Amino acid sequence: MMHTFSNSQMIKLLILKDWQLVKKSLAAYLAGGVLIIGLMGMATPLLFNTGAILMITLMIVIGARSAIELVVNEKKDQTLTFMMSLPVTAQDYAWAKLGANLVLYLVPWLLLVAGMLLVIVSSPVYNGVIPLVVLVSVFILLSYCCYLATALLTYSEGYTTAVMIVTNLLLNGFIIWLLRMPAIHLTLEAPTASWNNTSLLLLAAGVGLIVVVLLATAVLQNRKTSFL
Amino acid sequence: MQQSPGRFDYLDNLRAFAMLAGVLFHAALAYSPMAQGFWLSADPQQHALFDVFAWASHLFRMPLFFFLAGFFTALLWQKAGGVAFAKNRLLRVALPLLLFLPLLTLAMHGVLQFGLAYVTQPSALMQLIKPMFNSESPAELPFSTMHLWFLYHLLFLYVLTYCARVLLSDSLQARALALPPRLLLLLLVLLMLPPLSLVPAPVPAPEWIFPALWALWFYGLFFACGYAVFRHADALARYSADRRVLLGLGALSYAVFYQLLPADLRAQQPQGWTKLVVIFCEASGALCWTLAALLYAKRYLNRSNSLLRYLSGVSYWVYLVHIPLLFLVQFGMTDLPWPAGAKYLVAILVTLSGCLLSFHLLVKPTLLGKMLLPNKARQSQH
Repeated sequence: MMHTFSNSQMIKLLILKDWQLVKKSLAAYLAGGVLIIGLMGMATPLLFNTGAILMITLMIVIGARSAIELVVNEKKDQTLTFMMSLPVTAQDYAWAKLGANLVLYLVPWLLLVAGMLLVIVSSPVYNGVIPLVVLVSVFILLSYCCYLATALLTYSEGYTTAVMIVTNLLLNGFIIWLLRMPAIHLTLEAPTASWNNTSLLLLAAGVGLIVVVLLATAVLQNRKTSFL
Repeated sequence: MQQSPGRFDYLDNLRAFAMLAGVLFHAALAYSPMAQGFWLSADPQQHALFDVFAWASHLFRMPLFFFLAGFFTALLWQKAGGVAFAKNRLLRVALPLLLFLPLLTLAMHGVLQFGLAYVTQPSALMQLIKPMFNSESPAELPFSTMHLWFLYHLLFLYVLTYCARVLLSDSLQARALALPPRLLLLLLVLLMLPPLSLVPAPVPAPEWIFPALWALWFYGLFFACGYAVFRHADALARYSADRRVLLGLGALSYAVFYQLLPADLRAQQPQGWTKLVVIFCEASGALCWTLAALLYAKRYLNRSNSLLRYLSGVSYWVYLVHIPLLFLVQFGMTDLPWPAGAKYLVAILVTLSGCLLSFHLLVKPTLLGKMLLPNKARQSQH
């Protein structure tokens, strides 16, 4: 582990490089996020539902584009070859990629989720939908971690896209599955968020899986002896 | 051509006056016949002159404030850079919002309880609220950003400014400013119509705790104008010769706007073509008077002395804390048979005195001063 952080300055520079590459996209997502939260804040059922769908789409698009732009395309565009000529080890590079992607996704993800929750709490929308919104958001984060791990470990556009498609299909199933659970759908119109055993268990499982996926990625990355 | 960064005294002074005018506006609503239906401290004594004054100041006070905010955003960003700008705005805008919103909410709750117990001729809104407070399980009042909504929306405008800086080219501003001046004004008025059509007239305060898109659009246009004026010094100067025309056009727009407003603003709003005329006059009045205020201030207020610096220093604090004190004073006078003008004067004098006293006790000698006073004002206060 000591070796992992021995070149922290270079890791920082690589993260900054990734930030520069996606700065424009993130600014566009941020502006889109403000627009969507404003739409949801109008608190009519149609605009709230439209805003919720747009918000889920935005979260998926941010994750998909950053994984493809920052990891997969690096190999395609021969940037990885250039990286190999720099004084960085495969581990430095791997940690920089993991760190940059996580930060660049988690910041907008947290802002969007916080914005959505703020809208729900402060508008006539039933607070009972909060567990559903949080669980769906955590599922989207888990999906992102899965295709980020795939991208980092394989650098393959094919595999990464396949995992994206599977996780997006699973999202629809996950929402339907949640809505069919009595513990979830019976509390949707409650005036307060009802965190019962079922929703808490699902939340813990989601967070646990995210940690497992990230740890497994870190361990496998650390074992790499070459860039490819 | 870019302006070199420096102090702009007339803009500092104008900002202070815009803040202090907020106290006069809020105080006037209690005696305005049009606001009787929705203003908490509405008084049985009323006079139509309060409507004329209140809605005239409301037409351009906040647009002017957002114009100035846009100007100072561009100035600070250029002078200090993005990171220092973000730190400064967190300290001067986000922190006061987080700190004062809960305190003001608590204070308003207390003042409201006092009003409900003390006032025997309560306003329509008080009568509506009274049963909610008297029931066994008192209903919670909806969460509101109160008069601090402008700080909250400013934070979103800062985020959108960052997005625009990253995504849009500088040449867009230059192209817009290359348009003939009167065509540019007409274009701006037309751009204001969609957001104004979404809300009743005169524009309400977007005080829910989420960004109101109409407010970001409407006030964002003024913010963008202020931002562009900093970067293109001659943009404002080319309207200098037209300042009287702008003042007159603003007055004409306001006259038509005021005539078309319903006698009770809670009543049905104008519809169809009348609504279009109302919002057109609202937009043109706001724009013409905002520009006129800037041009006249540049001519007559571009100076600095100890009084103006003092007003500039205290205005932010006065605006932040005035509402609970103003309501307390107005509740205390509601049942008195005094004329509306006398009540108005007493309400303003007592509120301003209380705010200034608290400034000298709570702000000037404490850390709050660092948060609320700009450097220049801090130096002049010592």
